[in-house]
Amino acid sequence: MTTIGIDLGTSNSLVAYWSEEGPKIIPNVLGNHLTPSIISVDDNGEILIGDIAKERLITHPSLTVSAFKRHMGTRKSYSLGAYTFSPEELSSFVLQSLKKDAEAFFEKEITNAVISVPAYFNDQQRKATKRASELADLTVERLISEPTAAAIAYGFHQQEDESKLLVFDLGGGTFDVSVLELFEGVMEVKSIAGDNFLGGEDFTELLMNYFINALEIPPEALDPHALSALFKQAEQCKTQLSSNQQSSVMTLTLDGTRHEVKVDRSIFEQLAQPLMLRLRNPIERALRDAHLRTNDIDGIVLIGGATRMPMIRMTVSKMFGRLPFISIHPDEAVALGTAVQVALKERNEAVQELILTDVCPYTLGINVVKRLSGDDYSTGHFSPIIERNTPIPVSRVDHFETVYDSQPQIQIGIYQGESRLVENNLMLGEMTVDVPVAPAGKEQIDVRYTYDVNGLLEVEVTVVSTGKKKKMMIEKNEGGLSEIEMEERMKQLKSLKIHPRDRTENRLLFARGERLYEEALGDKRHIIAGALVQFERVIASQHEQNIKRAAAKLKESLDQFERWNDIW
Amino acid sequence: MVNAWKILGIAPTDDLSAIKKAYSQKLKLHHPEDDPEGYQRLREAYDYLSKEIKKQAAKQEIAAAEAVIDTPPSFYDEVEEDADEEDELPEMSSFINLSYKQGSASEPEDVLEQFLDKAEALYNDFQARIDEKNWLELLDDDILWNINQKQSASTALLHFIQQHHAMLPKNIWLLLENHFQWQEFLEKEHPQVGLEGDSSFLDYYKRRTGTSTPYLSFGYAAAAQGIDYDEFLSAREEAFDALLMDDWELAESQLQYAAQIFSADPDLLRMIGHVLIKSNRREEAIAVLRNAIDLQPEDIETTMFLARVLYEEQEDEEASAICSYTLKQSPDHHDAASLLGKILFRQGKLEEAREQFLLLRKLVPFDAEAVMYLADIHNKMLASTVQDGREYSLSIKELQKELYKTSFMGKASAYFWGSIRIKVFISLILLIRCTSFFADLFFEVVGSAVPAETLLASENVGPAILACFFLVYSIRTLFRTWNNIRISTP
Repeated sequence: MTTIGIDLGTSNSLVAYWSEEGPKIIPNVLGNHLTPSIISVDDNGEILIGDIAKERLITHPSLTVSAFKRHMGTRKSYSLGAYTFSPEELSSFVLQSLKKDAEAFFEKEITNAVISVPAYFNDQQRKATKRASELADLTVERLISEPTAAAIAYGFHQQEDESKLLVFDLGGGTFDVSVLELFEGVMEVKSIAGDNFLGGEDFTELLMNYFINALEIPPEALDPHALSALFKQAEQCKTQLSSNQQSSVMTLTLDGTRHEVKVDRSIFEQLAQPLMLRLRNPIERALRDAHLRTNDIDGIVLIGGATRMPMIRMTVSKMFGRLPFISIHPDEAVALGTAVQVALKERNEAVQELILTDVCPYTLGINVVKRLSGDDYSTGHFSPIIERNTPIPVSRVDHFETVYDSQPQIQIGIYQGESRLVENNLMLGEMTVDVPVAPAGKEQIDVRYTYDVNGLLEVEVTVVSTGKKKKMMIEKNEGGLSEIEMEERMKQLKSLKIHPRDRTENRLLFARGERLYEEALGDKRHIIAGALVQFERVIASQHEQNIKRAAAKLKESLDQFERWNDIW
Repeated sequence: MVNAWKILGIAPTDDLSAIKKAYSQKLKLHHPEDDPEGYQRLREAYDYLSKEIKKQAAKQEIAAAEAVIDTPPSFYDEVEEDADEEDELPEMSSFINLSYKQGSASEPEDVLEQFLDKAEALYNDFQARIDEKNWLELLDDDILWNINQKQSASTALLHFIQQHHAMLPKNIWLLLENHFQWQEFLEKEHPQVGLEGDSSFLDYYKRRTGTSTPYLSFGYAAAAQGIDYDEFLSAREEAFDALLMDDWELAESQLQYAAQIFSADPDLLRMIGHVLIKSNRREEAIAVLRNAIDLQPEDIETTMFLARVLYEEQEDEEASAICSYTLKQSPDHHDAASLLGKILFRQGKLEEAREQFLLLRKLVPFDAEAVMYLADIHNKMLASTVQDGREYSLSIKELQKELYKTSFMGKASAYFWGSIRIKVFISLILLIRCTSFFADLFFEVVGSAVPAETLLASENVGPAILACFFLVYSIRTLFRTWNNIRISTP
């Protein structure tokens, strides 16, 4: 049985495997390592995934979605043409596409995977990720934190050295910080902190809003086409400013007039200042929880595409007073780490000497009533049982007692979060236990929380006086779907046509041609349209050789157009 | 934790790397994936011991540092010895860091002092203080980027804010909370840190940052010239807190004081409106609210407030105009929908009122007022249709259905199949039994010409009385349940 490792990212996803020589990325059908996490639906109701969908962001913005990982675990729904999808269903399409790439690579069916999630993903978001993989017919062997994955991809080579690392993971949609210590073959995650709503996409949005403001057009007046063209310009601008360019120009043609806005690095940095300030707290907290000071850290691992921005490096060195960066591939490290995790899980000989220990990122606790004074009670307080950044697996117990005389039952609300009030935390489950009638405070219960390596929480309540036990696995289905509904939905999804893998390349050429058509003006449009029509004819002829030749030719001319567009 | 050494399987030592080695060896036996309990025990022992050793090392370091002051020449020896005991890498990097800090010139105390001066300068300039941009700039100060100094800077800034009982717009309170997590700090450390003013400041802080408390605008006051901003704002804020606490007297005096300083502030006027209504000065309240709306026409809440007062003053025309306007702006505004319905009802426009309340029920399914008004409307409609023959879009039948009054057959089916049917069945069986008992008696008398005296013989009297009782009981039960019948669906 082969298990694959998957990095399911906000912007891009990757699939990797464990080979004799270590972890390796599996290329997709186009030969790329990165598959954009973008889904589109075409006029025939066919689902398009990855690069093709990315091209269609410009040409068919209302039929295309991206960055849906940001809404994992919520009830948000996306309508694409005749369909409506949840974020986990959209993610399942990406997973399916990666799975097919792996199956083509191994020439056999793949059913198991290790999937990475942002370290700071909460219980709901983790469960949604699991559901997504179930929908894609993949059994999740383990959910692994992204920074942990990146660290083991790095630490795998450095088994002998003793060092303390801080992994700084700024991806497309989430920000994670994690502190690790490597010694004697042990990879010990010491602490995790993060911000689930901070990522590269936020920087792109800043540039986009800056552009919209500069245009002096009310945002409502922009149609989806213009908005997605703007978004693409903003993304390009961000990429250019992240390379060695000092300034970049965003352009947009609206009703025949061409608008231009120039952005240089200092403007971008000014715009991004509020976001940069938000990087501070998670780093501080991770260090505090690990009981380390900045100078205890031997190296900082930067991962996630957004860490390519020079200002991120500047900010981090400002906080640490030095430049202790460790260079690893920012896009691929997480996927490679998932493949190492596969080997760890299978106890592969090559990693036998290596043991990974993890922590739980959030505090887990119970809701309690507090006595303020005399008969004055206050409800809704959160009492922690397993504190955040406790090594897992772990089992902890705490005692609670009845509040009022002859209380017949004790209600237990199970929560996850850091606030002292349960209303600000995330509710994971609820249970009720009967207790014998007695004066207030005389009846006690033991509440035991057991948190395993897979991030599953088991709650066991024991009534002290009677010894009666009640157990509960926290497996609440947040989507509100029952098992039958889930199966029904799975059938529906299975009946959807997904664009066949073997025709991806030609389809991508079309999608790209259409996008270039939209971006171009006047004569160039005619040329592109002509080339596309001709290509369509060749495809209709079904002559393999001719199609290949025509595809190569079309690709060349499209490349040329792309360059022209850039110069323009 | 005497056991800890036993769990790690080594003799007590103060060598951290020996502990680490022992831990990693044992970890293979108690792998977290295979032996969760063993791992937890091992890990707790390891964490406990390494913490203890670090504590001791820190103590020694302090002792060593003191020794350095006493006898400078031995400095190098001491450091070398320390380096042997400690991890080498961190020690080295701390040297790098030290030189870096020295390179940036000033002492930590000076940096903190400079930061506080900057904060004070910002705070003292009112116009600058209410602009988020300036605070963002302050938050970008170097001292806050230095993780090791940030906490002291944060505490000092909090102290400053507390001493000045700072008047800040909500967005800035939230910005500060997001960056410093002062609430957590205040809650956790508040008895020890010696920040005076005890929990009242925490309450004040929570009100300023809480999501449930409304936002008081700073814009109108800021646009005014030559007023004492802080006096005005603190009076207004105090009045606001007093209103939250139901302290009307304090609120009134503070509002009066604030209004003397500056009165063209919509939020202030709205609060004055509340106080005036409380003391039943409706006319004045209306005037004040009109003022507020003139200043801020887009404020829906104040406009609706005015509409409610107008409604109570029987000024239906204007009130309904406001409601209609509000609903045009935001069709989901259920206060406006409700008030408009009430006005229409009072004006006798039953059909329109009905439409309005049906709409409201769509917005808020269990709005009790809507349900009650709808019942009233339907009753009125029914009465006037029956008595005056007025015609509505609803037939009598539909009206009855709305009011849960139903036809004979409908009632009959509910009667038999409703939740009370067991009672009905028992009563029915009793009724039949009793009737047949009397029927038997009757036929016996008529058919076989038994003399009436035998009928009244003693053995028949008991059952007859019993039968009479059951007969009355069952008829009564059936009758009562019929009258109490409710049909679950209209």
